Amino acid sequence: MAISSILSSLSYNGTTIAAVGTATISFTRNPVEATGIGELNATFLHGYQSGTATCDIFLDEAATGHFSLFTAMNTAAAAANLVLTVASGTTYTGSALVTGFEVTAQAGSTVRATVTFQFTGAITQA
Amino acid sequence: MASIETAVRDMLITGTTLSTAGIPDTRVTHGYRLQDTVLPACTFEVDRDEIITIGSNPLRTATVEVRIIADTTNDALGFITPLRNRCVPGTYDTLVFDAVIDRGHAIEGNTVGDGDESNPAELTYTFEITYRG
Repeated sequence: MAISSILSSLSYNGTTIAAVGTATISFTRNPVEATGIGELNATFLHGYQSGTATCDIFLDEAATGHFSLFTAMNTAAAAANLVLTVASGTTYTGSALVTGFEVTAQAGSTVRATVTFQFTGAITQA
Repeated sequence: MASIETAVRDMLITGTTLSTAGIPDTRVTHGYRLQDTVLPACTFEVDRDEIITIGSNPLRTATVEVRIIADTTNDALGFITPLRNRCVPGTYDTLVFDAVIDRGHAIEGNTVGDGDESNPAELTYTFEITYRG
């Protein structure tokens, strides 16, 4: 089975972001070492979970959501919901801060921006 | 129904840029021209058309080659500026061209062989179009 990305979308603070080339969410749960003195093999416990997200967009001032992401990075006082829908009914959701907005204008190409997010709190899959 | 091919032709014949330069709309054709038709003429091809964004109404990008066939090299070179001026963002045959990026051109000069054999000059202009619709 495979899922076409034509079914996918990324929304932040309730707004679906237009012209997203790539959306990536990364979850990690760091291991906590619990190896005792005299033990020959390392042992670990589950640590806490954290996550980041990145999206590459074809930047356009008229496109829905693009500059609200920039505004969110600059002036937002609180995190907002980030939802990656990979297919109808399959979502990854969490509260996230916009932590980066990198614009690239390259000769002979379209202008792009890379937006980075840091999740805060729980991330859920549904 | 609109397609990238119909939209590119619509872009090329919009206004009077090419016709003023010497190519009436009827000489702008997709893919080929009949060998014995009047010059100058314009043909075009869409080499690649692919989806570049996620979602149900994605952005697409297409590489378009526009060819101007003219009797002499100078005649063909005279179409560089009109083509640059004509291939611009806009709405063509309902498709929205967000960005039209100039990828440069190449010119193949006219050649004359023995007797009455000759080949016209050919200007090949390449554009990358980002569009939706």
